[in-house]
Order: sequence, then structure tokens, then C-alpha cells
Amino acid sequence: MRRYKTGLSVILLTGAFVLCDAPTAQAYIGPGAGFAVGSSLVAFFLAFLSGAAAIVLWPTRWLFRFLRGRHAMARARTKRFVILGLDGMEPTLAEKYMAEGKMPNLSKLKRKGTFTRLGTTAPPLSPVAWSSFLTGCNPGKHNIFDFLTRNTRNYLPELSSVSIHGPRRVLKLGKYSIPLGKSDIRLMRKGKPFWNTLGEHGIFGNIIRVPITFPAEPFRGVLLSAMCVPDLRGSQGTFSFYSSGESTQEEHIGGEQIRVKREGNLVRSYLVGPDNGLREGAGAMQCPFEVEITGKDSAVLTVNGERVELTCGKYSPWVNVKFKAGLGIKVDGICEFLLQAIEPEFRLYVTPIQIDPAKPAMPISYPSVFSNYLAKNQGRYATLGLAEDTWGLNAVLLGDDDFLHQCLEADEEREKMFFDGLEKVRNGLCVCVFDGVDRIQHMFWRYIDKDHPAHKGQAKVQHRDAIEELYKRMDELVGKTMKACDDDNTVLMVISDHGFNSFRRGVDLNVWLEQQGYLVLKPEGRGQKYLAGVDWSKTKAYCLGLAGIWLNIKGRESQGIVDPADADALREELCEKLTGFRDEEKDELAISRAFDAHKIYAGPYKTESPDLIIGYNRGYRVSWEAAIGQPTDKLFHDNDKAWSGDHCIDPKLIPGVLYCNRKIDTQHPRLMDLGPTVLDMFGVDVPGHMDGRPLTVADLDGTFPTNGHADGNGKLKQKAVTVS
Amino acid sequence: MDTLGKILVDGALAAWWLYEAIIAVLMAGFSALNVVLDPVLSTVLRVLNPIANIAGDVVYGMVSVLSPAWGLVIISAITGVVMLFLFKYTSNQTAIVASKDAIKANLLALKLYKDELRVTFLSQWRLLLAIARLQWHMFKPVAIVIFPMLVGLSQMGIRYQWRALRSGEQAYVHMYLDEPLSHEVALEPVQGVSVEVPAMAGEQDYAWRIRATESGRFALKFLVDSEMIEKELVVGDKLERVSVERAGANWVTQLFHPIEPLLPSSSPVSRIEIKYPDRESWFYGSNYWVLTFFVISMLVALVLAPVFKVKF
Repeated sequence: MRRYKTGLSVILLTGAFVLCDAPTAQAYIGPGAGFAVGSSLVAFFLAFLSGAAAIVLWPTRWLFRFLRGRHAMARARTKRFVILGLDGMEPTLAEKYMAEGKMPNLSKLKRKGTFTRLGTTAPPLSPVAWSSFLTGCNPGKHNIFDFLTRNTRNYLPELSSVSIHGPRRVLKLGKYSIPLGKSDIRLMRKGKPFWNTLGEHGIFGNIIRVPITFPAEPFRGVLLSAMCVPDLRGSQGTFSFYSSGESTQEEHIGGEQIRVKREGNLVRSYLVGPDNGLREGAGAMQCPFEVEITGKDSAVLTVNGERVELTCGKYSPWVNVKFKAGLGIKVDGICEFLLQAIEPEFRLYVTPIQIDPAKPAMPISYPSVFSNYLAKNQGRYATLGLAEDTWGLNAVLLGDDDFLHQCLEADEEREKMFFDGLEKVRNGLCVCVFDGVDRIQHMFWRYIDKDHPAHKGQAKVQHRDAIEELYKRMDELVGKTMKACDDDNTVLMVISDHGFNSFRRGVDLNVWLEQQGYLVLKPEGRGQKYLAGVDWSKTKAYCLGLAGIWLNIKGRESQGIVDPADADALREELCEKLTGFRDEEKDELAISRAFDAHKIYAGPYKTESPDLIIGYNRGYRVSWEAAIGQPTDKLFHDNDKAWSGDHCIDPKLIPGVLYCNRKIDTQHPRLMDLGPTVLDMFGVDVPGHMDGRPLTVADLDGTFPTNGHADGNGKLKQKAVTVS
Repeated sequence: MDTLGKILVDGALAAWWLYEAIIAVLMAGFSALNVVLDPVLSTVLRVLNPIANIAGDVVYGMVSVLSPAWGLVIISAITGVVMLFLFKYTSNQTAIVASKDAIKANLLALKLYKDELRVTFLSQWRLLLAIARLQWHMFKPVAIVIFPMLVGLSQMGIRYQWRALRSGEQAYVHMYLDEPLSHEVALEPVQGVSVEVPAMAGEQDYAWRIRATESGRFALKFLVDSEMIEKELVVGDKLERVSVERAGANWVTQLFHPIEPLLPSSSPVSRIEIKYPDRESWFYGSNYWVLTFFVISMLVALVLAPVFKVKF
């Protein structure tokens, strides 16, 4: 067949050459040839124009950059700084696998340069930790203390890092509301990323998927946002599950189940999109789709006129879906379909519908064309902040295989972006964060912790080595990165924002507060979500989110009862009671320390934090119910969910890792020191507001600068604790 | 400075010489292929032309109630749609999209990484490769489409490039021979056509000046020695197909003059040509019709491509 096709091609091409020889044929190019010639000519012309402009303007741009950054350039100790973030890499596991020879590349990095633990933030949560990384500040200066915060007017949970509202002004035309302006999307993280400071000195940054960078802020470089980028519905990821089974429509955390009816070989349903802001009362936009069953394990999906072959157990590629709002306005999204079964019941899983990077509905990159550039360069990719659907696996609607597929796919997409950046940026900063490490450990820790409640009967499961395989894969990634950075001008750091541990038991802090008399429930209030069952007129403290406890302060909360003058004493009282709190049933320490947030944070936003930050012991965490403000009747809950590993514990117990291809001569490096270190290595003065201090990084020959910029800043040079 | 100038001039000359050499080689290749494929294509056209003529008559018969301009618009639009579908189903749409994405990505890379001169050159190079790939993927559908396209265009050409003689108008008729003049040649009188100037002999051809005296489709009869050869003459005001030339077995002439049968290979006459007047209109007249056709068919294809999900 292949030979036949080749032969046919040769004949056709020969024929075409001969036909082109016809003297009059030149005029008769027609549309087909017109497409070919026209589109190529435009591209060629644009390429020529852009190339010529770049070459002609380059000396001017270079001069401008030189003048602006000459001070830094003169003191710079490196040309390129590469930071590879492996979200949640646990140092004890890294040490174990290195000792067993399973991570040769990280071992090599350790031998050649540095491997040490990296101090994390309180609380050790990714949004908090990465915000401290990128601002070089403690959370009191960047305003991110948890994934969630609470609305002080109604106590409802809100996303802490971003606020999204519709356009402020609209023009009402009958049933339509025409927006007069863009949606109001605000980054609630404060403080300036260190790459912005670098940019002010003419140093370019290539920043890929660092959490809490949505909406993308302008700076000198390119950036793709990550954690907290919403899906098209504005949520942090809502999957859809279509089933023809008898179960009625169900609500799951992080997703919804829709009942469908099979008619012959056809199943028709719809995808749920964002609310239609254009037509008042129209509700959520819908995109109809149809699945035609073509075999016992195959079907054809038709959506927006596009046909996609589905096979049971295999994800479709990213499919572009359009939601029509009216007046010709469409919103583009992408999602993947997973046909799980056809018989006896039809089951179809659809990933959260994500912002299409080729036509982004929200500012997920800077400049805005950067997400499109990546889409054109490597194909469509996941844009959702938490792209891996942990809720789908928790709800047992996804299997381990299905979830791992999402993680591996996201990592592959990320790897392409990262290496493209490394290829392109030879002078400047490259940062890329891989968060599959975090997700897989969250969901597969039950396989390496035999004492975990979800471990029972899983000794022979297929993915019991998922975490080990993950670490090996990350080691391969590091190996490739080392190869791409194998020059004298690149400093490479491999870091994690925190470590990982088991999450066996959840503590319902609202129950504890109730038992201690700090929280009172309304009659019938138990079990209600989002603190709806709390009697605010008698409640002094409450728990919401993963990080800690809030006081119900008069004048701050709308129904506050705690006098601000008594707040310090109450915080102290709670800290004393909670520090060393034990799980009597298991005879284990549940809470290692409780912190008074006003004492551990400094900065203008410290009053926005939960009043107490809880440092749980290993194996414990806030319970699922307490995190969503749903008081139960039990203080401790066994965690039997797939989400079995966590890191929301005492920060002292869960440091991250720091590997570097150079020796580092600093005791107890912290995540927030890395931004200042990068600035220092590029010869840029560390801004006074940063809490981090530059680490003392050796030169290529292994010697530490005697008159280094780190010392020159007046920072304390610390004694080496380099592990080699 | 002189040395640099000399190097530049020599370099430019060498590049030009190389270009000329490549063109010469290509042309030689084409000519050689032409020699090989001419008998095949001639045979194909001999079969195809009568069918195309009938199809042309049917199609243009249907639009004949409209003005020539509207007829051209409709036919161009329909051709655009047909070509769109032909393109869709004969091309590798996935590969075309990938090539176009690569072009866009590299154009964006030029903008995003403009400070890195190395990236500028790298992206330029990759851009050229992507354009070459796109051209390659375009070539197959173009190669498939070009032959039927040429046949269709030739049917348009015989209607729009020239117009029929009007009653009372004069024209020259040329008869070209294979060898220098050594034959007895005569143009027989025909009702409706008068011969104003009898045969004027050139080096290897004869010319007559004729005048049409009434509308109709006439057969001019030439007596060459004892052999009778006919050539069609069209007189009238409507949009009618005209056959400018009756020729021998060359496939190119056959392609562009499809109406009349080929001259017998034994005939001493190589071709007979009537100098019809050009059609005068800036929209559908001589040469303009190609432009109009091109613009309309392209526009229709461009507008409908997203509807039919065709990528080019």
C-alpha cells in the first residue's frame, strides 16, 4: 500500500511538473495552487520582515539593554540561571532512591555541587511556598496563606490568589448585556516577583508554570501561568461524568455526574460551559455532543462538527470545544474525553474544560501570544492550574491508570515547554515547575505507607511503585536538563517547595473548637458545608481551609464577637491548647505546633492570614470536612481516600530539596532565599523589602567569592553545610 | 574595500549563475518529460475533450440566461467550492495544520525572543523549513487538481478570452504548413462569409482576410492539394465558445483549443488559426476573466473553508 502511494505521488508530481511546463498554465493557477502560493508567500514575507527588523534593531536593543543593565552585567557571576522546580519532592525519598542507585543524575548533581534540605514556609502549601519563592518574602508581604480565604461578610470560602468578576460596565440591549470592557481579573498575591527586578536590569526571564502567577503580569520575558488558573467555568477544575446507569445525577467534589440515555447506537448530551454573561438569566452555556457507538469498545464523538474516534480506556487528544454566547461571540475551550465503558452501561469521563491556549479567554500568559506560541510549537496543552484531576480519582470515577495518564501527559507537555525555553534562552533566567510530583504523591502515597487506611488489600496493585517510578522519571528529566545546561555559564538548581508525608488521619478542628466552647452550631447546623451551620453570635473561632483557624473578630468579620483587644490573648490561648494536641485513639501526637500568625509573619498583609497556623504532626492534616467548614460529630477521621499523601503539616517536618550544580556555602537555605540568590548571581542588588538573603554560591572552579556580592550586600555570610 | 566589493560582486555573479544553471536543468528535465508524456496526455485529451465540451455546453447553457459577468461569478464561486472539497479530500490536512503551526510558532518566536539573535536566525531557518514542508504537502492536492482545473479553465477560456465575430466584421485566417509552400491551397466559398483578400503566402503559411456577413456557426473549407480540411468559424453577439485554432497532436494546443478534432497526422497542415477579436470588459474580458475567476474562487474558498473545516 505504501509503495502504491509512493508510486502514485511520483506520478502525480511528475504530471504536475509537466503541466507546469505548459506555456499558458502559468496564468491558470486556480484556487488550489493559490492557497499554496498565497499562504506561503505571506509567511515568507512576514518571516523576512521580522527577521530583517530583528537584525536591524538588534544593535539598538543591545545598546539599550547594555546601558540599562551595565551595572549588573559588570558584577554578574553567571549568564544563565536555570531553576527546575519539582513540586513536593521529599528529601528522605530522594536520599533513599539515590542511595539505592535509582537516581543517578541527582546523585551526580549532589557529588558535583550541592544537595541539602530547603526550608519551606508556614504553612507548607504550594501557593504559599511558591509565592515566597518568587517574591523572596514571607507570606505577610505577599498575602497568600492558603488556597482559600474567607469572605469576611458572609464567611464563604474564596480563592486566595485571584479574584474574577465580570466587566464593570455593560450595555443593556433588550435581552443582551454587551460588556463594555474586559472582565476584572485580579491577582491577589502581592509583592514583586524577582524576575521583574531582573527584567528592570535587562535580564530576560522564561517562566513556565510557576504557581500563583495568574493573571500573568507584564515583565521582561515570557511567562505561562499555573496553579490557580481556572477552567473555563471559572472553577479550579470541574470534571463531567456521563453515565447511562440507574444512579441519579450526583454531585461530586470537583465534578458532576450527568445521566444520559442511549438511543440505539447514539448517546446525546452536552458539555457545560461558563455562565452566559451576554444574556441575562441564560445560565451556563452548553455545547452539545453526540457519541455514536461503532463497536463493542469504540465510538465516534461529534462535537462542533469535529469527529473524534474514541476507544474504551483511551483518552482522546485535546478536543477544541466552542460555547456560543450569542451575537457571534464564542468561547473556546479544550478537553479530553475518556470512554470508559459501552456495556452494560455507557460511561464517559470528560476532563475539566480548560482555557484554550491557542485562543485564551483569560490572561494565562505574558505576553498574551506566548500561550499561543507554545500551542503552535507543541500542540494544545493543559492550562488548568491543577491540571491533574485528583477529584476524579478520589470519587473513584477515574482509575489509577487514567489519573497517571493525565500526570504523565502534563509532564510531557511541560517538558517540551521547558526544553524549548532552555534552547532559546542562553542569557537570562529559566524557571519551570513540574507539579506531577506533587499530584502523584498525593494520590499514590497509600501504596508506600502500609499503615495508611487506604492501603488495605493493595499489596499487589499495579501502581504500587508509582512514586518510585515518578522519582526515577524526574531523575531522567534532571539528567536531560543537566545535559542542556552543560556549559560553564549556567547555574542549575533543582528544588522543591516542600516535602511529602502520609495523610492518615484528619482532624476536624471545628469539632475541637466546639468541644472547647469556641464554636457553637445552630440547631440542625451540623453537617452543613461552608460554615452555614455556625451560630456566629456565639462563635469565637472557626476553621476553614487547610492552613489554620480564624478568629471571629468584631469589626473585621461581619458578625464578629471577639473584641480586637482580646484577640492576642485568645490566639495565645488557642496556640497553647493546640500545641502538642494528641490523638488519644491512636496514642499519637496530632498537632506538633500551633503558630500565632501575627508573631510569625511580618508585613502589611499579616492581618489577612488565618489567626492561627496549625503545624500538624506527620500522618495528620486538617480533615476534609473541616477544610470546607462542615462540622461533623467526630474529632478524628480516618482518611480512606485516594488522596493519601500530604504536606500541610509542621513546616519543620517537611522541608523541600535543593540541588545545585555549584557548591553552596550557606546554612539552612530557605525557599525565599532563592530569588535573592538569583538576583545576586546576576549582579543585581537585592531589594530591601525581600526577606530572603542570597545564598553563597561557589564559582565554577569551586571557590567561594572572597568579595562576593552576597557579602557586599551586607548580608551575613553563613557557614557551609554542603552535603557532598 | 575593493577586495570586499570584488568578493560581493563575484558572489552575486556566482549565485546568479547557479540560479540560471538550476533553471536550465529544470527546464531540460521538463522538456524531456514532456517528450515522454506527450503521447499519453494527447491520448487522454482526445478522449476527455469531447466530454469536457459537452459538460461545458451544459454548464454554460444553464448560466446563459444571465449576463456573461454573472455567469462568470457563479461558475467561479462553484469552482471555488468544488476545489475546496477536492483540496480537503486529497490533502493531508493534519500535516498541513502541523506545518502552518510550525510557521506561526516560528513567527511568534521571532517576536518573543527578539533579543536573542541566535534565536532569530534559528527561527528563520525553521520557518523556511516549515514553508518548504507546507509547499510539499500542498503539492499533492495541487498536482491532482491541476489537470481537471486546466481542462475547466480551457472551457472558460474558449468563451471569455475571445468573442465571436459580429456580422460585418472582418478577421484574418492563417494556415500554417509543416514544410515550405509546395501545396495547392484554396478556401472554398461559404454562405455567410466572404473572402475579401485571397490567399497571401508567407514563408510557411497562407493568410486570408474574411468578412462575416451573417450570424451562425460556419465550417470554412480549405482544399490543400486534394485534401479537404475544415475549420469552424463562429459569428454572433452571444457568449459562445470559439475555436481559435485547429491543431495537430500536441497536448498543449489540444488542452487550450479543445473544440475541434485534431488535424490528421498525415496532413501537411500543422494548424489553422482565426484571429478572433479579444473580448472587451474589465471584469470578464480577455485576460481579466482569469483574474476575476481567481479572485472570486479564492474568496469563496476562503470564506467557506472554516465552514467546511478545510485547512490550507
